[in-house]
Amino acid sequence: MNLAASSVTRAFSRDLTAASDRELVATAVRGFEGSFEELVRRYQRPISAYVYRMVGNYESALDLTQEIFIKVYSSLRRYRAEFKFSTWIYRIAHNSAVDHLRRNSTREQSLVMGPEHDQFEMPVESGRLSPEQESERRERRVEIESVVRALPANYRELIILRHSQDLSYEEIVDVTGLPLGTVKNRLFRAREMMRQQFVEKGITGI
Amino acid sequence: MVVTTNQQNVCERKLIAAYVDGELEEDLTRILEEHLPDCASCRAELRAHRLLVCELDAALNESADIPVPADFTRRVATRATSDMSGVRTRSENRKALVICMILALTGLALIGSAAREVLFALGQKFIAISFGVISFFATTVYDTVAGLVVILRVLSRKIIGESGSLGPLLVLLAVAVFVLSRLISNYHRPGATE
Repeated sequence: MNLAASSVTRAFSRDLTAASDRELVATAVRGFEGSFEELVRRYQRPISAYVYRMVGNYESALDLTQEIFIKVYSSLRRYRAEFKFSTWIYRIAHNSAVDHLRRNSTREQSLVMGPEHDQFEMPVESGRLSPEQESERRERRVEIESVVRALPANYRELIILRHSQDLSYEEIVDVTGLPLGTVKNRLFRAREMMRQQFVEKGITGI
Repeated sequence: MVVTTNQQNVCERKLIAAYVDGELEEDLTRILEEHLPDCASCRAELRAHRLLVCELDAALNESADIPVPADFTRRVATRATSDMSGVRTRSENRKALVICMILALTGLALIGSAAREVLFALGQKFIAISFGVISFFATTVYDTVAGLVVILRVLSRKIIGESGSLGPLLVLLAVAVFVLSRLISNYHRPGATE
């Protein structure tokens, strides 16, 4: 590392949390490991939540998240700053999750058929709800999660990217590589399937 | 936007879905907004879709993360950064290889100079033993060949000297050639060896 680069990273290390993703990538590529750690800190929660919802198994989700970050680090030099870093990292996560599902297609079947032993209830922020309201809300969330899990993987991924990760249609196109029309159609069809499921399960108000 | 067929109904619901997501094109948004006050079924669909999207957002949004172990960040960063394959460029890898080779050679040279006398003595001993073995084999071969030559010479002199001529020797040679040719032809005949 040359002198200029080292002075940049020294100044940079003082306030990593304020740095943009692109700055963190640039300094991580120059060998400043603190930058990469900050990127992991920023994205570990959304990525692990996305992966968990895709694969449906907590331990596999953590292992896969770790693999994803290793892939991210080894591909940092190939990252182009004209793309959003979040879209880029989601694309890597998406490909890894899809590969994982393909490798474990029988597991995916069990995921679709019913809850797995290694699942846990997603935490619900309580706010100022009464215990009854809170338990009702928790139940509702669990029901919705189970309906999402029952969707075919190629529909489920779009619902998760849209509603869990809050990605726009354009970003979903970038992450999945699907045409915009397909994304729109699948999102619509996935929601229709879910509505049907809610009706069948007797879940009202949706 | 009057609902007349199922297909049209699906198209309208798709438009409403994109509208709820804030992803409907501007001109279609304008048409839909003009249409909504006059169409109760589209308004009902809009309400239902909005409710569904709100429920999905609330149930699946990012705040509902899965718990990650306390040292997860550090563990992942350490594992990733210890794998240098992606971050180092090819020129850096080449430079590292050259430095490693120079260090290895320097190390070997230093070890060599420190143990010069031991290595020198070992080398000398190795060369001496090698020469001894080679000369022993050479002498053995030479002596064997020389002994055979002497024996053959004595035998030939005896045979030729006692008969006084080459006649019996030539007869013996002819018989030997005949017997040998028969033996060879028998050997090559199929089944002769069985």
